[in-house]
Amino acid sequence: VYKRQGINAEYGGNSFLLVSTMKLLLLAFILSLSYFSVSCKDGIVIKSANRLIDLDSQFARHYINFTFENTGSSSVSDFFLAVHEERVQNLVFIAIGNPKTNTSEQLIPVPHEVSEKRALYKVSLPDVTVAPGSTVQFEAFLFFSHVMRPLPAQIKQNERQFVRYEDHAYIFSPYEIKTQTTQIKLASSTLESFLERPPTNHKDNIVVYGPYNDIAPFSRAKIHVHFENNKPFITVTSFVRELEVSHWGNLAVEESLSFQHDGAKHKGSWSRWDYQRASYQNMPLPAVASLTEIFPAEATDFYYRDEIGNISTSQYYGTPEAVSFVFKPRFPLFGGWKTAHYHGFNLPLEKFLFTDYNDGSAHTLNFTFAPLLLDTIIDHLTVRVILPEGATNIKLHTPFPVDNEGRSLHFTYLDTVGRPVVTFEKKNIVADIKGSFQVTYSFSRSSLLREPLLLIGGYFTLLFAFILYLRIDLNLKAKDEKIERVSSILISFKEDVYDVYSGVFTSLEDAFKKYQTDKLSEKDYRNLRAQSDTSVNKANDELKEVLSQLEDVGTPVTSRVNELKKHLTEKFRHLKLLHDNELNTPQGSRNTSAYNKTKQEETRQFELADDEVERIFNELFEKAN
Amino acid sequence: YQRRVREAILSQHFIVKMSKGKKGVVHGESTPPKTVDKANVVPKKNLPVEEEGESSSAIISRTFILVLIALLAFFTRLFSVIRYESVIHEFDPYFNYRTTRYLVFNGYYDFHNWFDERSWYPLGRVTGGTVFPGLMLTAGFVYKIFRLLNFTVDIRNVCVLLAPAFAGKTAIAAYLFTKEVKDSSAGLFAAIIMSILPGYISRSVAGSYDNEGVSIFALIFTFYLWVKAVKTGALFWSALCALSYFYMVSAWGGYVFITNIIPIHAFILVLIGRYSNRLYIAYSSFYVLGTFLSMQVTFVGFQPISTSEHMAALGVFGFLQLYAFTNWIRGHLSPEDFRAVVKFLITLTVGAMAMLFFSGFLTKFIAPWTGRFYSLLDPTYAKIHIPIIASVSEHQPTIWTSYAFDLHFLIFLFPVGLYYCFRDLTDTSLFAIVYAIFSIYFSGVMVRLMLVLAPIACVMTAIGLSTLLRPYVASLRWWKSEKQRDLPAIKPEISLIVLIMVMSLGAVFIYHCVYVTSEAYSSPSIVLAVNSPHGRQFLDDFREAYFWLRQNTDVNCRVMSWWDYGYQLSFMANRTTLVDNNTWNNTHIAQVGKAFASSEDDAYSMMLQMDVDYVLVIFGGVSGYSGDDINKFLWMVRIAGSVDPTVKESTYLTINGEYRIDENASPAMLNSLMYKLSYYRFNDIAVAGSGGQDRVRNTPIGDKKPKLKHLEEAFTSEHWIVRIYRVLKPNARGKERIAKP
Repeated sequence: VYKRQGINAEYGGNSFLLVSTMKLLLLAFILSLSYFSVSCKDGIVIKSANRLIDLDSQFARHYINFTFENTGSSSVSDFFLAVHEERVQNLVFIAIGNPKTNTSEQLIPVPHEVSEKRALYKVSLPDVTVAPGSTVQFEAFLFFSHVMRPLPAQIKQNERQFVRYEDHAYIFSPYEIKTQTTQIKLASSTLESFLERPPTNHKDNIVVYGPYNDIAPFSRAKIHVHFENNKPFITVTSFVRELEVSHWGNLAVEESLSFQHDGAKHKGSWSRWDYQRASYQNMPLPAVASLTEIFPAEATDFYYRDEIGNISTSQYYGTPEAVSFVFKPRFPLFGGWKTAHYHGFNLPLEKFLFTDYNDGSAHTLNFTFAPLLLDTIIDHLTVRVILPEGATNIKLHTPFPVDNEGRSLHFTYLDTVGRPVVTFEKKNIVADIKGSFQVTYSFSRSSLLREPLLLIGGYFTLLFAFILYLRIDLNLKAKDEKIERVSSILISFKEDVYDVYSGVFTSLEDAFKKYQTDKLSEKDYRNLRAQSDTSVNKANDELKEVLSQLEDVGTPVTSRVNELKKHLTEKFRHLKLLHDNELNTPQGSRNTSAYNKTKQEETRQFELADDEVERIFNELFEKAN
Repeated sequence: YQRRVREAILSQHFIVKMSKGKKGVVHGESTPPKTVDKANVVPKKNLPVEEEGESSSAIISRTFILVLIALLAFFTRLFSVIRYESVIHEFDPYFNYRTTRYLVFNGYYDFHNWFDERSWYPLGRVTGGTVFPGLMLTAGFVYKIFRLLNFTVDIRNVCVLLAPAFAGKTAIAAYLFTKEVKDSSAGLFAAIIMSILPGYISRSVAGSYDNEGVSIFALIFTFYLWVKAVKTGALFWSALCALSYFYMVSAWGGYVFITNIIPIHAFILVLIGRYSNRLYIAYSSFYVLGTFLSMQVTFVGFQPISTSEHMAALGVFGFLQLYAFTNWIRGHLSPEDFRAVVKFLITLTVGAMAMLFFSGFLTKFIAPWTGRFYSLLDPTYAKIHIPIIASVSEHQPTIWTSYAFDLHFLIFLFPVGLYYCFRDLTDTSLFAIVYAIFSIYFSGVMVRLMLVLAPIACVMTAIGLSTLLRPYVASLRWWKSEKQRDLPAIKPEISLIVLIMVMSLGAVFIYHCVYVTSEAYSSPSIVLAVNSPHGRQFLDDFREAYFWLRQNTDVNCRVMSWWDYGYQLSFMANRTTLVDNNTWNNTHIAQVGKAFASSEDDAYSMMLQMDVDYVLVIFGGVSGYSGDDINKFLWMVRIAGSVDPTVKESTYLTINGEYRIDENASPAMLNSLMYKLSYYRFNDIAVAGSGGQDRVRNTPIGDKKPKLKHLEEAFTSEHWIVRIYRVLKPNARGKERIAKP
């Protein structure tokens, strides 16, 4: 408790006490009792007070014009405002206006004194001090939410919404009031009923109570008004705003909202046709089809989504001062209906981030505290500010005390140690609350290079790993070498031996065919035959070499090559014998059995050898097809 | 054995090189037939100096081209993201997305043990045991990797972009496969065609987060590894093939295609005398490893040994063992003895197998073929026996125009490629042929299986195109050479004209692909785009209504709708559904169909029995959306009738057998719950003078003022496409209103 008190004393402008626990409340109450009795009643008399209660929306706005006189002996600088106990929870904020200068000062209320019957709020007067005997005029503005009760609590689709507002005819005050009036401005002139406290007048949408004279402090006189109010009754149950600072020049804003219609609940069936007809005819309906939020004028790149995808119904209007973002939920909100979505946009950072002139690494982020979501009350606001990775010395300054302040880390693209996050929460926020919060931190310009360097480094490492992979041979060398050795020997066998043989066979057969058809002389054939012999001899020498090499390597292939050699030689021999048989036997004497027998035998042998050669060769050099 | 394997590897080096060398022969007709020229046989690493330089630059350019193709494949599929948004499409992907989220946020074991009580109320679904988890695991894995590196990507975006990313990989797999079948230049052709082919894009655009998105890659990659294994006979490749098969099994029920195609290939190889030890090694190791791995997928379980679809693989495995055994004993026996032994063996095994299978079928241990399988063999089967299969549009037989639409000029070049595969027949090209023929048949049976045809169509076209163009391109080289050689057989000028013609054909093809992708296949069907006078307008009714349900109804309420919308409801509305696109329980769907087809009173008692809180119908009468429930209504009646014969289709038709909704409609039609829910207060628009005419059926409705007794309108979306009704609870006296079941 003490620690929290300390933090808030630092930021909180007007109060030294934070009422976050009942304990603290009680303590404050006991402490201030004595103080109150001396300072409050002392010599202040309100000469006149005029109150305007504006009920034109879902809120009750109280404008109270006080004229009071210091009848005491010492000068007065503080003034006390009283609120009924049942309204304490609903008071959103107080503003004190100075009609002379037309300025006002806002404060988020922290009760000075709370009892079962009332709460007192201490406010500073706009003119600092009031000397004894002098008179001062000022305006107090109190903003209440959730004070109108729908009656009937449930309505059908095309029925209008009636609400009941309860208050007191007298201004609640710790001081005596000489003369006072209360004006209530209603959302419409349809007034169901109201409680009279003579003198009471009603005209159109105005109900006037008073004037009443000489009302004692803390006097009560219950009144109520029951009237038609079709204004949107939207309550944002949760509003999370996330600001992400990038020193590359962007401030990304994302807002997640859950909201509901808190007016009279819808009952019975719901017809699209009835709704469409009502909207064509411009019938006043309590349904809410769209909401408006005001963004800074520089906002760009809008998006508007929910859990299941884009919502295609939104518009925005830009003016030089601001952008109005009008978003329609997927369906119109009737009483009791709720929905949720998130939307976001980008802002140029330089408009919101200020850098110290002397110290380039000291930055201040300045942003409005309350989201400008019109005509709604935010029950619970959470703001998360994500600072760039490496930001240090982080401090948060808020215009009024906040409920929960926290620090955490956020990890996103290219982060290593995480981005620092400043979080704070606040209950009961409306768009009328003015003021900005600041986050100061240190972030050096060179830290900006961290991410590009990381990228470059990563890319470099990747390429380097690739280079290494290409350079390192993970094969088991010895085995590979053997296979390669064998294959290279086999290649040379094929090229220097086998192909030579094949060439010889082809050319001999070709030549012999030509000879048989008298296209080639016998002499030429014989020459070719001699040439063939020499090339075969050469090939055989090569073959010996190949075989000895294969022996050296020691592979089962050797025996196959040996076999192949045998069959090649056989094939060559039988081919020659076949040709010789033809050559040696003249055309006329070819009917002899010897000739035929030789021819048959040699052809058979030749073909056998040929088959074997083909088989073994294919086995060694298995062909693709 | 080791020696044999090593020899097989050794000889493999030559096979590859020789088949590569073959290219050189094409334009060298003058070479004598038996003297193979020098370049023909090249050992693996001792490449001649000049070729080494060429090949390294070729490798770099090839890699570069492949990377570009993969990128192209990725980016062409992003039309839907740019036109619409990064959103999951259609129906089934929503289930996959929902389960992926469950996997990512609850962990693998919760996912595995997931019993989903929010679907198929009141039965529930054992989701963990009835999904192919491959897709979800892949997306989850990608997501985890990104998160590990602090890349805070959204799981939705991972799911949306998974299919395009895999399309890039499929293109590369197509390259590898074609390279094995033919060569690498045909491979590049295959990759580029694969990357933009509409037939495949239809199932892999961004957002189409379905099993097919990853499994087409797995399919082609498995085939690549299989042909590689057959070529090399290496355990390494067949083991990889089994792994890839495992991935395929975990991702898609279509794995059965692989389970049958590979054994058929092996069997045909043996039949035409191409049996080799390589085949034996490849198939045996693939089958054993693959089967064991596939049984690890819970949904598959013991199916590989107990259902008919898997019996071919088992049979071929046994057959190969026998064949190898016979081969072995052949060497030890004289031909006469051998013949006797073989006769004995064959009788024994055939008899034993027949007994085994027969008793398996009798004891129901081997499950008979499922309806889907029958409908594959007999396209008319489903229409007669299982309306639920026939009712799905993607299960319809393919019309011929969709071949032209999905394949374009591939239908002409497909036979050309097939011809070249036959001409240069190898073990691998035989595989391509088998795959091609089977997939042509299957693609004709079901539109959906066009997806299986698409890859092989690419491969065949690539082979055809590459082989056809080779001589022309070769003749162009004449210009580049020093012109000392004679003019080539084909004049370079003619080659140029031919090439320009082929290129312009390619340009038309590309134009067609882009057009089809952007116009036909990139619509998420969750958001409907309409061209109106005010420009493009989006009808976002589905999400509007689903989100209304999600936000404004009790979290445990039960929504009855036709099964098409089950998956979308359970994710987008996050509400309990009665039936969904899983369609595992036909009677339950029939019950829902019967409720829609009954009169309101009867439907009310049925809905009370099923604890229905809300009823959702899709209605296009106002917007002109033709895929609405009135148009699906007859299928509801048929499916209901297939379980409960008292529901007859004819009672919902006019006397002439027409399906109408105007005043001539049958009384049963006008009284049906579906009719009332669709047209409730529809005529009020007519009174206002702005419609009243059903814009889908183009006719005024029959019963102008349907009255509802037990239901009330709860919500209707902006363009009336989705209508939701609340089922009123009976009051204490109201019990009497409910008819006894």
